[in-house]
Amino acid sequence: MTEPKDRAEENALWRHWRTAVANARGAAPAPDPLLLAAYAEHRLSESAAEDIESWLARHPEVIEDVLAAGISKARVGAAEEPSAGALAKAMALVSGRDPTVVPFRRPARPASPVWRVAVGRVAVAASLLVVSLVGFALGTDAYTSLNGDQQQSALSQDLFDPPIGIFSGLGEESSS
Amino acid sequence: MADKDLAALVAGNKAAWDGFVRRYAGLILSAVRTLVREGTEAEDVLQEVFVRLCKDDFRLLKTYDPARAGLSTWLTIVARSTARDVQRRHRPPQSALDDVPERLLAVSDVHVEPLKLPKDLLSPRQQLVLTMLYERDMDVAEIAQALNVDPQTVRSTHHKAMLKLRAHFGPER
Repeated sequence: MTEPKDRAEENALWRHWRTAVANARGAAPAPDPLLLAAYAEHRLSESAAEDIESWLARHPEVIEDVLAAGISKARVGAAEEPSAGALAKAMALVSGRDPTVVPFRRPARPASPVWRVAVGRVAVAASLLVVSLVGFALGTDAYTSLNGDQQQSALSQDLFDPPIGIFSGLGEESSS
Repeated sequence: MADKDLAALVAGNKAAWDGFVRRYAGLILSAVRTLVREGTEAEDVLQEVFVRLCKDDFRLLKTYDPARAGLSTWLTIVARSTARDVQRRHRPPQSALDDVPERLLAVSDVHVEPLKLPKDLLSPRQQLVLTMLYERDMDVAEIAQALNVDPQTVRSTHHKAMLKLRAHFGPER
């Protein structure tokens, strides 16, 4: 293309330009891998390709990625074989569970006949009635027995320990 | 890979995933081989690539569109990008500040005026051709193949770019 002397001079010119550009421009974000892949396959429009080329010129290390990607199709079958352990580890990243979600359904209940519902309600009412009658009877018995004991003990208390009101009247008289 | 296989893959189908791993693990390993040192490190990167692909419910894999690029091409880009990230993480630590001689840390109070560059002096294509020539040491045939153009077009692009640079940085300035 050019003589060695010219090439050195051209190289120096390029380095000068590159340093100046690197100082003037900020860091640009890396393009999407899909865009780079499309560029490697020459599928991008001219303007889209220009953006990628501009970025690649500032990141020359990625040029080799694009070149490697461009010839990757031919390597699918002829690529080197990874170890069985590496393959097993990679396969284990996705578990064997079934990812489909099964909707939860309640089991259908057979419709109850009307008479059954009525019998159920009557049974509940009857049981409430029985419980309240038994409770009332027990409460009445307990009251009667407690009241009878109290009356008997009050009589015996009066006999053995008369009220102090009689003697207190005498005391007041004697002191006065 | 057929569209239905891809759909099964991103849906989390185990059989589809196993088939995908078997088919493309070798390609990924070959793609990262030139960037990493030893065999075990290459297999670590291989694992990292597959982790990235299936992470967050196959988020990365779902961005792949077969209408825009081939799967092997896309996987190569993803794999090499992952390998670079792994390399960056494993980069040896920088020297401690105390170990650096003080004269190297001296800050000169000289204000440097940034070099004024005419906007778009070189087109992106011209910049890329010069980068490939002078930084990646590629020859014209390789560049022509990479850019899918005629070798004569590469020479012409280079020539025009050099004319512009000479005019800009030449001795008359």
